[in-house]
Amino acid sequence: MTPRVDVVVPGGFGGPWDARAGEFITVIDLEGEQTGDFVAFVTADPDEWLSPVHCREALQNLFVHAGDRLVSNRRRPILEVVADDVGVHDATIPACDPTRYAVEFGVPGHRNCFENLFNAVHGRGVDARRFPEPLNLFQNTPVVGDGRIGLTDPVSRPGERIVLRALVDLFGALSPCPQDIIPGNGLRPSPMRVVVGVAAHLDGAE
Amino acid sequence: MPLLMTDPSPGPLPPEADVLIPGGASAVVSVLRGQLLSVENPEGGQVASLFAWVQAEPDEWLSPHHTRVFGGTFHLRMGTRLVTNRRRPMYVVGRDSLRRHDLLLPASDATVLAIAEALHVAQIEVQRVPDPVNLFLHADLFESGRIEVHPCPARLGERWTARALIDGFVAVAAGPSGIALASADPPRSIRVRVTNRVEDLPVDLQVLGTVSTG
Repeated sequence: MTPRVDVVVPGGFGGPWDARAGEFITVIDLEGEQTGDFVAFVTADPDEWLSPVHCREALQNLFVHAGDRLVSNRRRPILEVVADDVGVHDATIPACDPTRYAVEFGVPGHRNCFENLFNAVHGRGVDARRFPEPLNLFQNTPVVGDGRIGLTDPVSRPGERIVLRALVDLFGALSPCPQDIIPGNGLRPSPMRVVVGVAAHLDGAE
Repeated sequence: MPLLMTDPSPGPLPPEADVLIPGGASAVVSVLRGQLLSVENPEGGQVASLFAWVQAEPDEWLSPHHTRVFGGTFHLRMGTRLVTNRRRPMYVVGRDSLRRHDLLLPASDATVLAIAEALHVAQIEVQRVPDPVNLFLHADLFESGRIEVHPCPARLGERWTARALIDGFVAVAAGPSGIALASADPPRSIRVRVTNRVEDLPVDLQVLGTVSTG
C-alpha cells in the first residue's frame, strides 16, 4: 500500500510530518549513525505534545523501548513504539539550539535542531516559547560511571528504523541533527526518511 | 552586590527574604546576583520543586534539561552550575547536606497549578511553567536507564544552598511530587531563605554516608 507521507529529510535540516490516529510513523536512518530529533503535537490542541520528561516518569526509565506507550505533557499515551531495529534512543537531551553552538562551542550561526524543528511546524499554532523537549531517535547517551552522560555515536546501521503508531491525530517534525563538532552523528550529518501510512513500514524492499 | 568584586558597587545590599511555605503551597521570591538561595526542610520528608526565571527576560528560565547537558551528568551535585534554557549559569550549588536531588522527573499537576497561582499573585507573567529541579527527591539511576524513586530521605533541617549569578525570581512549591513514595503525604512545609552572607545561615547537618547513584 502506498504510504500517505514519504519524505527524505537532508542531514542537518528539518522536515514536517503528520499522522492520523492509527497510522504508523516509520523513521529510517538511511546511512547509519544519525540522531533524529523528533517532536509531536496533538493536532486538536498543539499545547499538548509528546513529552520526554513525562515519559521518564511513566516508564520509570531514561530510554524508550519497543512496546512502550509514550505520553504527552498531560500524561496521556499518544504514541506507541511498535518496532525498533536499534533499541537505543534518548529522551533526555534538549535540542541543540543557537546557544548550544554559540555559547558552548563558540560557533554562532550553526544549523541546529531547535530551529529546524520549529520552522518545520511554524504556523500550526506552536509557540517557540512553549516548545517541547525532543525525543532523540537513535541518539546514544548511556549512563556511564557515577551518573555521567556518555557522549558517543548512534549504533544504528544504514536502513535501520523505528516504527511508532499514532494513538491520536498528530503532527510534528524530524531533524536529522546537524551536530558535526562532537560525537552524536559520526561527525557527519546524514539524511533520514519519514514514512507515514496505514501499514507498518517494516521492510526496506520498496 | 554580595560578591567580592574588584570594584565593589556602592549602595545597600539587596533585600533578603525568609519565607515558610506551608505544605501544599508555593511562594515566589526575588533572588539577585550574588545572593544565596537556601531551601530547607523544617519538618523533613518533603520534596521542594524549584523553578526560576531571569528577571530581565522571562522567556529565559532555569532548565534541568540544559543543566544536565551543560554539566555532562544526570545528577545535581555540589558545584553543579544550574543553567537556563539559553545555557547561562544561573545558580551554583555551594552547600548541600543531603546530596540527593533530581533533574529528570516532571512536576505534578498540583505543583504546576500552585506555581501558576503564585506567579499570578506576584503579578509575574510567564509563557510556561518549565520542568522543575526536584530538590530532596531521591531517585536512583541505573545503567539500564531505570529510574527508581525512593521515599524522600530529607531530615528535619536538611538544607540546599546555591549562589545566584543572574537576577531572577524563584518559585518554590512544597507540593505533592505526584510520584508514588517520593514525598510526604500530605505535603509538609518548606522554608526558603535569601541571604547576602553565608554567616546568616545556620550550620548544615552533617552529610550522611556516601552517595550512590545505583
